[in-house]
Amino acid sequence: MTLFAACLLTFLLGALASLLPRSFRAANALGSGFAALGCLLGLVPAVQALASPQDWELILYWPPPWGLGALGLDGISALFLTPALGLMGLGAVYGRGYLANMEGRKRAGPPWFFYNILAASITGVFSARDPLLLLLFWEGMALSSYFLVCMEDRDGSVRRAGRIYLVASHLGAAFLLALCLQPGASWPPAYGLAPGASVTMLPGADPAGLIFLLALVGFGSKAGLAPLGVWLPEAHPAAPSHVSAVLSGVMIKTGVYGILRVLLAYQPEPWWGWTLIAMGGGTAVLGVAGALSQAEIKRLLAWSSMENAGLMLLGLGLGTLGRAHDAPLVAALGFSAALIHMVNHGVFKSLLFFCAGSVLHGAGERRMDQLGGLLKRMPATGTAFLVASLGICGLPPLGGFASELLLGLAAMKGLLLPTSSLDIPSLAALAALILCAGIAAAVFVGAFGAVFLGEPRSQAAQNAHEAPALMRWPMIFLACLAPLMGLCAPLLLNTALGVLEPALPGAQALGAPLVTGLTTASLVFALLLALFGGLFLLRRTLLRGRDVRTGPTWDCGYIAPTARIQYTYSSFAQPLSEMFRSLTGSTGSATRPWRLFPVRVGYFAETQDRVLTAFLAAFNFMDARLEALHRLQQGQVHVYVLYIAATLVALLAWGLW
Amino acid sequence: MPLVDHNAVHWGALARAALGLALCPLLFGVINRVKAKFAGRTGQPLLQTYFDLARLLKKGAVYSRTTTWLFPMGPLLGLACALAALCLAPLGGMPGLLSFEGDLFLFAGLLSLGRFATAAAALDTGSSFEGMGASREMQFAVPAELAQILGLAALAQATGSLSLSEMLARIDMVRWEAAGPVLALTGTALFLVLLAETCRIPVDDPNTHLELTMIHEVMVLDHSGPDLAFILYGQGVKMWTLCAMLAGLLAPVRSGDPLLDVSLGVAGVFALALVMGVVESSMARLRLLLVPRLLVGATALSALALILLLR
Repeated sequence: MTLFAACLLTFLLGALASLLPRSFRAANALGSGFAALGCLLGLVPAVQALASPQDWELILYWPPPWGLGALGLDGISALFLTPALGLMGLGAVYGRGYLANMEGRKRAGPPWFFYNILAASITGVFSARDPLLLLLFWEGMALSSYFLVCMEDRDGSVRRAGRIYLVASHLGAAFLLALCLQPGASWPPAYGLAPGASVTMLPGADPAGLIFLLALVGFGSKAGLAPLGVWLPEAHPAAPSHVSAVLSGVMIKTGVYGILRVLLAYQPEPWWGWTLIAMGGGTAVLGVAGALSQAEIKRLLAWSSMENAGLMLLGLGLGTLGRAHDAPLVAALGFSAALIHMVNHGVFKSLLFFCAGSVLHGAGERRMDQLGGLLKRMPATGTAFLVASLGICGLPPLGGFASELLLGLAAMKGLLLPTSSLDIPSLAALAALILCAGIAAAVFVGAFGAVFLGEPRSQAAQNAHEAPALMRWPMIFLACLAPLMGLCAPLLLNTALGVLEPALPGAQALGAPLVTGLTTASLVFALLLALFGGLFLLRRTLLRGRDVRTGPTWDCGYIAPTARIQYTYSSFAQPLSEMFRSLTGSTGSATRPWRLFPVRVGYFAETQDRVLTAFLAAFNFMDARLEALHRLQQGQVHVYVLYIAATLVALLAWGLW
Repeated sequence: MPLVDHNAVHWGALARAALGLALCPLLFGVINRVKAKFAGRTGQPLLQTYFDLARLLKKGAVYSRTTTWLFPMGPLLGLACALAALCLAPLGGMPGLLSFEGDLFLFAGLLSLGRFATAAAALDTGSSFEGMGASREMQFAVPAELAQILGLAALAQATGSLSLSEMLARIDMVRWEAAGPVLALTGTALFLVLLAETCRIPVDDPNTHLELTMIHEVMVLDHSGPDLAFILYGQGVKMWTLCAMLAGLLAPVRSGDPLLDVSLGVAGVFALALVMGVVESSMARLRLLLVPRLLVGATALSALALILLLR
């Protein structure tokens, strides 16, 4: 508890300290040092709370009005907080190396001020014990991340991304305001609260259902759910890479956390689960299809984050349906799948953003179709990207497989139930999961191949260099963690089930066979690695002393290959992108060769983000309808004072009546 | 009452896996012999693939200057994945080496990992042909994987079990009499997946070379010597594994005598190879743009089977 308070204080001190020094290097070192130290301090109580659930509360001596001002850690908070602090700490180390090349161009103080505030706010969101405090931390998170997104403010597209982010995040916050400030609200909502027991609402309304909807919209907009998360693929790539890693790897999970808290507190109704599965499945498929038609590596990663948020929501939806229909095994599987996927996605997506930042740093080029051959020039970054790609696609020996397995099992168990109530949602969830896994594999093979394999397609890629040590070590650390997480998946599942035990009594006992099953899966992983090692040795023995030559690539006898004839990412993804044209909104037009001596041949492809376009169109529509109200908005102070006075007089008259 | 002890190691499966390891190159020989008979040729020896493997393993290798350390890892990982999948697959109703609830996802995941490795190694050469093959392979895998998982989900629904060994052990004549049409639908879908996964006609033509239309062969153009032997053998192991699973579904005779069951399973595998040979002899490769439709059709069949089984 003391350590936890120290962690928050360190973040605040770091925020102030990074503003003080005049020199760039001192500010860079101070800001990142304090952030990393704070994360280390916070990790101790978080891991303790995870190992042995303890219920302590940290009461602030200066409570906000009508709130307790309490912070606390229970199992769920700790499970979210542990990876969050770890990743933010690594992000701080990486960020120091990443920002170093901005010396002379930018000040290091402000980014580190906001990074520390962001870290403190995220820690606060996961541990807040009263609704007002939650809102305060939430707002701190939204504002500090806005300033971080807008760091490269000379770029018009970055400013636009920041503006979209600011608007979208405050639209979401409005719903949270309604959720948190209703009379009798508590945070986190108490377990097993009967619907309507402590909430007073409009008569006739379904209070629990309304709370669920408010939470879904408010928290869901932060998680990047389909129609609300329009900002995500804009804002995440615009930020500096260590911030993108925190936004995608950690901040998305605050949304999942909020929804999970509400779902566990009330006795859910089936339509909650249906809504979650429809939105989650839609987001997942839309996100991964969107990733197919991206040209820039960070944008691709952001779309993939949307996909993974959707998968987490699928897990929550299956869990909710399991609770609503009294199928405790499906409930335990669904919720634990969402929790484990949260941890896995955090690790792999942060690693991917670190690698993307390293590519940006080393080659100075963000378009995938201009890169290539970087694995030779940046071996550590390339290998880390490969490991993270395998993980994010949910392929076997790594951690990502465990969460996709649990999600699939939850859906299959839902199908096997004697009642038919879970059939359609389970089938939809299973189909969405497998579809996403298949497309994600194509996306990440293509992206890895285009950026790191083959011949460099531009001078920038030709001259690329490996990242400095400060950026390299966090990547190496996470890349080594990834296979361990695959082998330790049973342990993680056991922890997740233990964390869920208070809300879902009996989860741990029900899940015990699954833990054993995952252990067997780990045995298969070990077998796979042993087979691979054995074959590796066999190949080495076979080739020893033989004639091993190098030559040009055998391109079916074509003798004048250039780097330009290689398959690019766009050409790699084009067939799939064409298959899902209605989702990706990509259009292409070709100028075909014509006549005996063709003059011009070309192909032009374009992708429109349909959701964002629709979102902006809705705003324009509203704006046109509300034009009359513009007259009230004069922009002159004395008119506004007049409004205040008029309101006061009206209230006075109403009071006297 | 479970027929298969979950989470236990079935050591007897090692012998069955060894049988697969020894016999899988023969499948290519059988297919080629059937095609030769249809065409009125004598055809290559039945054991030709064994000779090819032995010759390739004795050779040196040539590597492209463009490639990195990743390139030779592709065939190794591909073969390791096929071998691990072989360990999970049952043969003739007898369980695989390891089994647990949900191992069908691991089975599909291993095939997917092998595909990832092959495609990454193909992109490593910087060749436009190999990039094309990798792109197509990953595209066709999307509907094929969906058809496979939904088909296995239908089997799970029909047998009430979520592990491959258990669900195939439970499929017998009684089950076929009860749910014959549904099992037939699933079998058809899984057969189409088998053709796609093993790169046979009508999805891919293993005999074409230097063509713009090929898929798997074009991805492995740059591999030579022992690496190529690993790829060829991996293809054989994968074909054996998928055939063994399908034979377990389509030849549901469970006598209770392990030796008889296994020999029936092996006979089923070779019968499937015969059928594949007949398919290859009697039809041409589909136009490339039609392949996704075929595989989406397989997905529809699997989904239909699954929906018919839902209560």
